[in-house]
Amino acid sequence: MSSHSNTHVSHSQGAPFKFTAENLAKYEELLTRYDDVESALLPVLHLVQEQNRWLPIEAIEYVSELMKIPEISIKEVISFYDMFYDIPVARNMVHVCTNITCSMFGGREIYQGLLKHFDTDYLTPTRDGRISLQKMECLGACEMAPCMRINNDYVGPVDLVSAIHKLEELP
Amino acid sequence: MTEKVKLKWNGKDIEAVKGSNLLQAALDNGQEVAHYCYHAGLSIAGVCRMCMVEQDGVPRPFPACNATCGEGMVVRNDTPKIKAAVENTLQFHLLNHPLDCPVCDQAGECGLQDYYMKHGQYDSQMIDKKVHKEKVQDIGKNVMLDAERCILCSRCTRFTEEVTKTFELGILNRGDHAEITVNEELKNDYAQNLVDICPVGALTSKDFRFKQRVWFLEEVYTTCIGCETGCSVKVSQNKNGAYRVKPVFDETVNGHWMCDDGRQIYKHVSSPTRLQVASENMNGLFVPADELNIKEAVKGKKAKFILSTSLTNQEYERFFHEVGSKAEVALYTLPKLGADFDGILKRGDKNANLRGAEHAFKKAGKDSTPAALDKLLNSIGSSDVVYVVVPEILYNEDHFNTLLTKIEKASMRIALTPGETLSSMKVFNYLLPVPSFLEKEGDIVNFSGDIRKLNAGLSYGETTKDISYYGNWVNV
Repeated sequence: MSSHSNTHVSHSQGAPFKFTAENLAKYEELLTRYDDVESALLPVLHLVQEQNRWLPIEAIEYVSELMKIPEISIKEVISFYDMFYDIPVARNMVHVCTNITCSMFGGREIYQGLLKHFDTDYLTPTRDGRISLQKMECLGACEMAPCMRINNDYVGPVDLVSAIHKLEELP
Repeated sequence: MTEKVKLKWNGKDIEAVKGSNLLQAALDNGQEVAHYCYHAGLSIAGVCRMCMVEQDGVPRPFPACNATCGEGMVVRNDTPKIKAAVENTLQFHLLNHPLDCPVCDQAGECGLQDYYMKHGQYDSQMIDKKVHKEKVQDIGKNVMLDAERCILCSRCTRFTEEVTKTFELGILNRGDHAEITVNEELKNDYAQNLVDICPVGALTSKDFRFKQRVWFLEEVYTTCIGCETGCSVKVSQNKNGAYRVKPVFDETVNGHWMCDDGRQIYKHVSSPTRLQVASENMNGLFVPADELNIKEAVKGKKAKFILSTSLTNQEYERFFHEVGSKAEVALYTLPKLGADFDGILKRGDKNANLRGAEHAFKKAGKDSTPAALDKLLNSIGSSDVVYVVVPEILYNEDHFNTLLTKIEKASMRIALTPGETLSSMKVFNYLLPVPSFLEKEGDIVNFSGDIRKLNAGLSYGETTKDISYYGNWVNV
């Protein structure tokens, strides 16, 4: 995701990170699914984001210590994938698809329109802290084009007006 | 395991060990193969795609670095198909290159320049804007990173993973935004090797950058005197001074690498504060003096010698031959610094030729132990002349200064020094310049008892190359 930011400074959340007892049990279960620890890194990072929304340096250090994987290797993975966030994001994550099919149906215009309406930028939380917008390469839901993902729910087809309406409803 | 196989490379018969690396076999047989990411001391990455070859019976070109030698292989890298592949690959490597060769330290020994001369497409076909990255990054340990010059061969990240196992470097982001990134900063003691293995100018040495153009330098192949390991090194120098130390591949001692401490050993050789001529202490200020006058001053006085562990075997032998039983002799050994052995190359015993010294002392019937040094120091009387051969590299100056406080009783104190004039040397009446390790030929014995060769390059001080010089002072 940091392909859009030039800085490599990992951000701090100013407080330590630790899995909850429940997530620690989930973590242990994740390890049993793979032959080696490294393979579990992607689901483990998703689990961290489930608990913490984003991946501050404290979480990277915690996972590095927990899984015995060097910090730099975790940073490589985080920076490679778009859905890992090393900057703070809002409590609602909205993905707008801008790949071919969705673009043909106006996906890019919807994304630009949303940015303008909520006066924000790629990933930057809105001023009320409710929403972070991110354009996505493909959500794999061409039949719903143009489509969006609001947290874990797919919505589509949408137009700018209905998209704004849906986002205004978010807590 | 050393079964040999015969293969054909561009129609030429070559021989290689069965199962050995195909690219290395070609290089060993004097064949030219362009490559960036392959390094004999690291694992195979296969990312630069420059060493492509075609093999009879194999439908597609493949990288030679990831192939092994087998009997009867017929391999070519001079076909039109391969030439086109290498040209196109190089074009991709250069897409975002800043083309700042005039201010780049790597110029003259750069893989991009070398291969561009051969495989370059001289007219740029790029219509898009280049991706800009951060150019001047101090990533610690005297290493500077220019992310724009990097071609992402991953040699440096593999070095920190495989050799030092410190994991400081990685490749962050993806596609044309991918770049080498340091986690906090470099922390290992071998970081300067990154500068050596970088095939382009992305990693340069803070110590060396902008000081010299490499084509104005000559190399002296010698041995590092930084500790008892005795790594094979080359020192780059010209008439203005010495500029850098790099490791030379040596299977028996250091392999491909050397430590960062060893990179510093050249500093005193052409330092502006190095002692150039025999000097006399005039109320704390050293002024040039005539050696004959100094000889006159010490005539008839009893000589006591404190040798260092940085002389060559030949110098020790000659010294004891001259001295016989005419003078008392002891050995000053440098104190231990850090761990005995760091698991890679660096050793805590900083005495480059302790074994050679001990052998020479024993052969001459003298005692080289610290107890003998204490005995000599305690016996110093007011009519004695004490000669101190100053160790070439003092990691711990305080330890040496303590030694100097113990010779104050002698009426005459003379230092023979291959290095800089330290403030603590005011204790001496006279200073005499002697050759540094870079100005003399001879042997030293390393930690494992192996003979290591010192070779002479250019001289920067007015020092004699006569190895009986040390002993002659007893005979005046």
